[in-house]
Amino acid sequence: MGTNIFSRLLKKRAAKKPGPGLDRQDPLKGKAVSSEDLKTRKISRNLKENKEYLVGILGRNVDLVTREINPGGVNRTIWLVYLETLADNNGISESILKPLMLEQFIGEIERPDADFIELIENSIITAPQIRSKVYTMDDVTDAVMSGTVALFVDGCTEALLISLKDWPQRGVEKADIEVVVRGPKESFAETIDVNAALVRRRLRSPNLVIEGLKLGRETNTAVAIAYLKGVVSPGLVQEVKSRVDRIDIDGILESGYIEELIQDDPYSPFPQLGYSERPDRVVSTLLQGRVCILIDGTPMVLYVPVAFTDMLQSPEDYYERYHYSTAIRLLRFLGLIISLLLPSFYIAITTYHQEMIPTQLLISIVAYREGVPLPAVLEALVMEMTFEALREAGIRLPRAVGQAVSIVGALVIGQAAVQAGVVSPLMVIVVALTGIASFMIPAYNQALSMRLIRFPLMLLAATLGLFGVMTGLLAMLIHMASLRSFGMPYLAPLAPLKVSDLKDTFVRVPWWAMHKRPTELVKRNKQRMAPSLKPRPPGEGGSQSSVNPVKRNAGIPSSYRDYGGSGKDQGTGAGNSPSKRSGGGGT
Amino acid sequence: MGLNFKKKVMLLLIITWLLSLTGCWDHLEVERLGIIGIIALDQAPEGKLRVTVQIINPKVLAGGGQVGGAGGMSAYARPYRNVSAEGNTIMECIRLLSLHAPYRLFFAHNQTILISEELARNRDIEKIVDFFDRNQQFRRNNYVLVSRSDISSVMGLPGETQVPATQRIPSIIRQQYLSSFYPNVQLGDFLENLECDGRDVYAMGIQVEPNEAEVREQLAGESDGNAEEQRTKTIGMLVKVGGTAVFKGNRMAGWLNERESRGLLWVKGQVNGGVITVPCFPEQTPGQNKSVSMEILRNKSRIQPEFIDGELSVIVKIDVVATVQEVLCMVELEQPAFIESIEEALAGAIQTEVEAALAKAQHEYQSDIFGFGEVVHRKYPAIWKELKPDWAEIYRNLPVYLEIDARIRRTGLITKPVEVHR
Repeated sequence: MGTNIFSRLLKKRAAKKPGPGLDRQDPLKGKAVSSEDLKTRKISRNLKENKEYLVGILGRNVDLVTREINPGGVNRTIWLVYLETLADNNGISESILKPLMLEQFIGEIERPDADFIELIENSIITAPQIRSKVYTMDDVTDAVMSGTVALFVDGCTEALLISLKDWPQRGVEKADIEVVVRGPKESFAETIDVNAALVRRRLRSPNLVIEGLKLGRETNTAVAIAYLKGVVSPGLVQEVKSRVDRIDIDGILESGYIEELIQDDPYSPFPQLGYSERPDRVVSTLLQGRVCILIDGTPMVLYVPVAFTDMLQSPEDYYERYHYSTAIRLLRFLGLIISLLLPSFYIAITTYHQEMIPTQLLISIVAYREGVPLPAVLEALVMEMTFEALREAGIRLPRAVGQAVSIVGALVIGQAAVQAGVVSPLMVIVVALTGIASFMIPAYNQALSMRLIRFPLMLLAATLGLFGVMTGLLAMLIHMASLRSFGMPYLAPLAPLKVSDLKDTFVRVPWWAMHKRPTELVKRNKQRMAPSLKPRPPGEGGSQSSVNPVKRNAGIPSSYRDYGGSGKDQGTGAGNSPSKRSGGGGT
Repeated sequence: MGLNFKKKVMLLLIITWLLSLTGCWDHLEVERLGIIGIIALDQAPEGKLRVTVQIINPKVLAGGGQVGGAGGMSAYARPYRNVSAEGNTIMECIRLLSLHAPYRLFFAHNQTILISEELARNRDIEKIVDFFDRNQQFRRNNYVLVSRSDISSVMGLPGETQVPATQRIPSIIRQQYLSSFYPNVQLGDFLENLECDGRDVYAMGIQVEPNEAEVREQLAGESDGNAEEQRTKTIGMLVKVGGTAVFKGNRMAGWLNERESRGLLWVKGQVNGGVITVPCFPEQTPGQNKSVSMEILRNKSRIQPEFIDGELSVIVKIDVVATVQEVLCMVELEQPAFIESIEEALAGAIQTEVEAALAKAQHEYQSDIFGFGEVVHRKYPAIWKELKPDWAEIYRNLPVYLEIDARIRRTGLITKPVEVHR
């Protein structure tokens, strides 16, 4: 398709020598389309007017295709407009052009206008998704810009929008950021339809609501708010909607735009929204009564609210056996503390509180620090910054070079610097430990905030010793305690203490003990499972099947096979905005 | 949150500036520290004190010689350096030391306080200890020792080998429970004893002895004709911790030997190990090659003063649990009668040790290291007030009754002794 556009472009350029620019006849004289005009403009009965208007707005685009058809047996002109870059050309030929041109309109000439366009919609066009009763140019341009085919009929004030999209897109691939050993490997793609499909495929409940809207004056980005009706608290949904509705910006390219526009405390270094690239994680947040925000153009799905401790949980915690998950979670908390505190603790102790170091360790610290030119603070700052630089370089550099950088970095820091006596080996250990520990935090945005806060803490340690570190921690704690994420306290199950939520905070209790949804999030419909699912040996209080008398499989449709493996047309068939799907007429 | 953004930023900046003004005043990089392992106090001429400290050389001690090769150490780098100064008070001496110490002397990791016997006998202990009690750098777990030998020999000689006295002395004391031949006295206990009404203080004894094994080597070398080779070797000296320095009031009064020291510990209930050898049968003496060695597992004691008809006496109840470790006579250890007999012998041996300690402390030094006075004070506070002025005299003639309960718990892996059958 790309070559197609390109050759067309070249031809156009060749055709009109006088050069590019605004010399071409343009009804709007280079001005941007004003949204006011678009909103009010109605579709005219006169096809010519419509043509002129639309070509005036969109005509300078190389990929705009207009097509006039005069079906046999009827004295009416049918006009199609679409962008060939976004529309499915084969589909158009198969399900619009062929039926229209091969159909014989015998005896239909005398029909009134409305009936004629209804006839086309109901009996001729074979495309699955058609939106009818479109009267404004605003709707038409919107649809065309997202790949829909607009069909005008001479003499009708109505247009049909036929959804036949096919644009270049990345398929569903393996998760890059949130990698798990056990569990699904799928991750979201850049297309919102694919993402919505991935969520729906895992949550086949009529209670799952995916509401759509558009954000971005120019980008017209499709955004969807998803929640599980009956579990989520309605106030939360309302809050998310009102905050998202407030957004008025020219473009939304990534979830970060929305995050910064709707978070509770705009200055806080702590992330107040979670994001995930994993459909399974998103579904689990929905099941916990959270609200998700899907954004077209990014594989990251936002979810709210989040608490500090949520960020230390990986989806795999719930898939792997609970003993291991609990141990790993505790280790992650340790990692969090290390990544936040180790350098500042080291600085404070070695420069102010040497009596706290075990004698033997002190002796070796002194031995290794002898001859190091920098004081411990500067040494730590330099090393930490070097490490951050290496990490940044490792991310940005082309993959082929990345390896070389890490080798050079390891050599420079690990060996040469120590051998030259510029830094002490202990500091290398501290920095390395800090680095490793910060990689242990599953939520990347949280790890970032820890990485950042580390530096002021180091300065505090250097000036005030452990007292300074404690002051910094206390300030941080006070801030976190006052922080809210969409109304939920940021330190949620800990402060205010919700004992029953601790089952899934520092530890992960086995599934049969996780009876309730998080109480901080869910106010009604708290029970998430039957009361006694703990496996018991048969004969003791009944066999396993009699434990739960309710038919557990009742909800799963028998037709699961239909949805099973092939999700090939997920991206192509669906309408751009989920909410608009419902407007499609039946065939 | 009434502050607007600008004000918040200003506040933050001001705090940052303030930090740079106030912070860092007591900031000290680790490598600027002179870590001190031993502080030793000695008598100097003209009634002055001599303070010697052992500064650790971390590079040698940490084996960090490889680090960058910086410093270019000689092969004979010693792991420590002793420096000393003379003055009227300890603090004065320490500050005098700063005239030639390139480091800031740092006492928080000091583990040993050495007092020479001469000083202990001639200077009031309260005037020595005040500094250690007052200074925030000294920990309460510093060991307090009185040295029989010259201070410099204790701090110097063994250091030629890998382990300097700084590490050697605490390491030895950590094994105190294996012999119980000296009390484990830490600064905290020492100060507590000192300030407690009705107790006298004691400290560990330390001395330097020639290494017996090396003496024998040299003798053997001479008889073998390798005299030339052997003579070049110097006989190493060993530090030995043992015995107890007993104070009477402010001054040191004398020594308890190792057995007597254990006698003291029995009364204190602090014998948690050590070996006692008794004859297998009561009529024998231990020297007859027919003896049983027992290791003490634990020991409890209770001191009960009795005041009956104007007569004060003290009953000391000692409970001991021991195991049999070595048997040199042919006996059936599973026989209860035999076990009972050696239990009795064990109790007898303990009694001997305690009585020796009591005799020395009560009659020779008149030092109430057992804390009988305190026990009386606690039980009969009213009477104590009357007794206190004459306590020294009363203590000297205080009847002490011992009730010793010795038990043997185990006999090792075998019940019958090893025997050669012909």
